[in-house]
Amino acid sequence: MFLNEFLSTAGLPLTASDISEEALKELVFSSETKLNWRGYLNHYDHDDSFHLALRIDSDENMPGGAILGIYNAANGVLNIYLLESLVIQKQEHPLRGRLTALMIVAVSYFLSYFDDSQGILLCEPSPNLEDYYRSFGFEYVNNEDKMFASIERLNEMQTRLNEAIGP
Amino acid sequence: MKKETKRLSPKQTRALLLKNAKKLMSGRYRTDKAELIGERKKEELVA
Repeated sequence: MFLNEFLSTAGLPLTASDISEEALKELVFSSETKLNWRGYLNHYDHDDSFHLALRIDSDENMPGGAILGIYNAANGVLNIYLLESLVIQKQEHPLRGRLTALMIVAVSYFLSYFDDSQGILLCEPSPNLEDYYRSFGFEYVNNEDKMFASIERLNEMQTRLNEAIGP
Repeated sequence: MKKETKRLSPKQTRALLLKNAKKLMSGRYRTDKAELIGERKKEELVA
């Protein structure tokens, strides 16, 4: 998986994989999770489902962070329905504060393989992170509770980052 | 959603992302806030 090569290059002791059925059960039934994973089981089973779990190598079924979306081939947009970090209280955890950026990397790479792909749509993004999402190129869609970033904006952000001076 | 710039190939995208890996994962792009996107559980909304 490309994201594992990315994590290795960044020097982070994390592993990316699909969300297994066992991990999904943990997300659905755990009292630690804040999102409605149960309500999106059909999205997990969808033919065009995109899902990702991130954890430290030694962790058990419950991932440190999980992402669930669906690629809409009709408009070329990957909709992110659920993204949850479970390590917010773990100050030293390498995934803490990085899940959103990793989602953008993973989805950017995924979308690059579709000639007609258009971008990423965040459904019900956290209002507290609006500026953070904007720093990656996302903007609110009309008056909806959604933010969108086009492929071009995502590429532009990555190109700017590459050109920026300093570590 | 109009395309205005030449889009990168998968190979170019992969190379750019890998080149940015350390910068993108540095403290500059880390957030201290809870990372949540999507519908909350009902008990979370009540609380």
